Amino acid sequence: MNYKSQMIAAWCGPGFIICMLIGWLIIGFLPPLAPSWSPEVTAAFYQENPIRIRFGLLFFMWATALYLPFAGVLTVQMMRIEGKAPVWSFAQVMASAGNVVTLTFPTLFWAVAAFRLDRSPELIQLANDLAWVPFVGMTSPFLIIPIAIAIVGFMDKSETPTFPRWACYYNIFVVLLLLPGGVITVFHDGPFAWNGVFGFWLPLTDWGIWFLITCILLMKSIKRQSAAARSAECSSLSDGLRFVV
Amino acid sequence: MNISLSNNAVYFWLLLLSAVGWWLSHEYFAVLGGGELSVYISVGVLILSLLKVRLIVMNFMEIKSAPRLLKFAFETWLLVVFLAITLPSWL
Amino acid sequence: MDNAFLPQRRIPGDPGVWILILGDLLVFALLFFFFTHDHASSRELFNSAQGELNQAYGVINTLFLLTSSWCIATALKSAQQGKRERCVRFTLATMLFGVGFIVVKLLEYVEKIKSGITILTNDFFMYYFMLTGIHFFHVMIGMGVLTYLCLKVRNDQSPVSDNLLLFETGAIYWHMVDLLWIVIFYLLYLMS
Repeated sequence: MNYKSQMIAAWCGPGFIICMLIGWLIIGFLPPLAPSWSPEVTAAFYQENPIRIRFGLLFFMWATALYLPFAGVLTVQMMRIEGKAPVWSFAQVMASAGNVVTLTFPTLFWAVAAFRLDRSPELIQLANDLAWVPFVGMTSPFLIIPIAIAIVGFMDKSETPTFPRWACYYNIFVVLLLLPGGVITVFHDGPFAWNGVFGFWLPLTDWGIWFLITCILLMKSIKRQSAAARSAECSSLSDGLRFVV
Repeated sequence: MNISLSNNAVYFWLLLLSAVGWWLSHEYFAVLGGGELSVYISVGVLILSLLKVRLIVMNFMEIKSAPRLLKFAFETWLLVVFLAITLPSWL
Repeated sequence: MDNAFLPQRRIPGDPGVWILILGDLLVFALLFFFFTHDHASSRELFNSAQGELNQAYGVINTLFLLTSSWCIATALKSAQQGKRERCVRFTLATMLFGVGFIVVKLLEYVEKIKSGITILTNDFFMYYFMLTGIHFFHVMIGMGVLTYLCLKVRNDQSPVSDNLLLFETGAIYWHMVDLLWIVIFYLLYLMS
């Protein structure tokens, strides 16, 4: 059942978050640029350290690819629970694919902002806005992922569910916490702007912790399944030996 | 308060506390005048509101008969909210 | 020692739901802190903006939610006593007051927007729309939860007792919606 692959893929989840944060630290996006900055100040940010920003963005872009194996193992485990018609697993796959788009396109727009530094500051700010607004504000389609997990978790009637009931409620909580992030399109400053506590910091922390917790739940489940498979193998082996001896 | 209140009793207290809070916030100043007391009135109404919240938590949500850890978590939350609302004005 | 007469302490509802409830309460506590922090630094603005609020709507909404909490608590008790009809009736009553809250809230939003006040008017109204908006969203989810509870209990095929844990959990969520409004009502409408 590919347990080794599944374990590696599960690790990619937290790996994605950590590499993403490292990329951002290299670029200088923590703390994020302020939407209230004038075009000149925004342009100056890119003009000060263009090489570091460009390579940081490259690293960041590659980091976003780590999300995909994680989505793969999540799908496998969800399909295991759902069985014949894995509706919510497929919804999760689509949402994960869409989520990668909401991560990679902003990266490209940031790269464009940093690409030609003699452009007018307004244009650089435009490219900057094109990146930040969807990166922070596009809470969809990611939303579907925790919702799908909660539904599948509630459906799971097995003895040791992959997603125990507390995890289902936790996933609902994650959705509630991420949703207000969508209003960053309205504000240029304050706690609900793309650099604010409720627009950025809280959703980012919540999102990061979600990867960690989901990864741990997946790994526990994979270990259980591989242990069960091994003991099933051993018992059939010993049955076979009894015939020989 | 060790006795469990019935649903109707809780509702009665909720309405009563709401009425008192309302009167203090709005009519008090009209009848007795404002001045230095207004801060204390405001904090008083906050306490009344949090008492209403506590009634709902302890009785309707049945936290009163929940394991002590959960009960403690809620009492702590009430305190945290009280501080979160009053501290910015003090500091 | 016979413990039969000592009430056992039990976690109400589905134990996992407390992660959702406590998490939500903590986030709202943070929101409350930010509101009062900004309030303290712009007291004049906030107090004068508060004057634009329709106090009547606020009071009606508070009464609606308090009553709805009492209704769902009564519904739960009826379910515990096995009285299906009574439980369904009080659940529907809870939903009725929920709908009342939604209607009044929408009227209030329309009234504000018609008089030119939006989420960008000033900091007070940023918090007004965000706090009541996020709460409103929770109310909508609550209506969905109540509908589900109602349908489950109405189903004559299974005894009422089968759905007790589910009903209790749903009721707990609705109580959270109510208690959050009590604090929001204080902060936006009453506090000066």
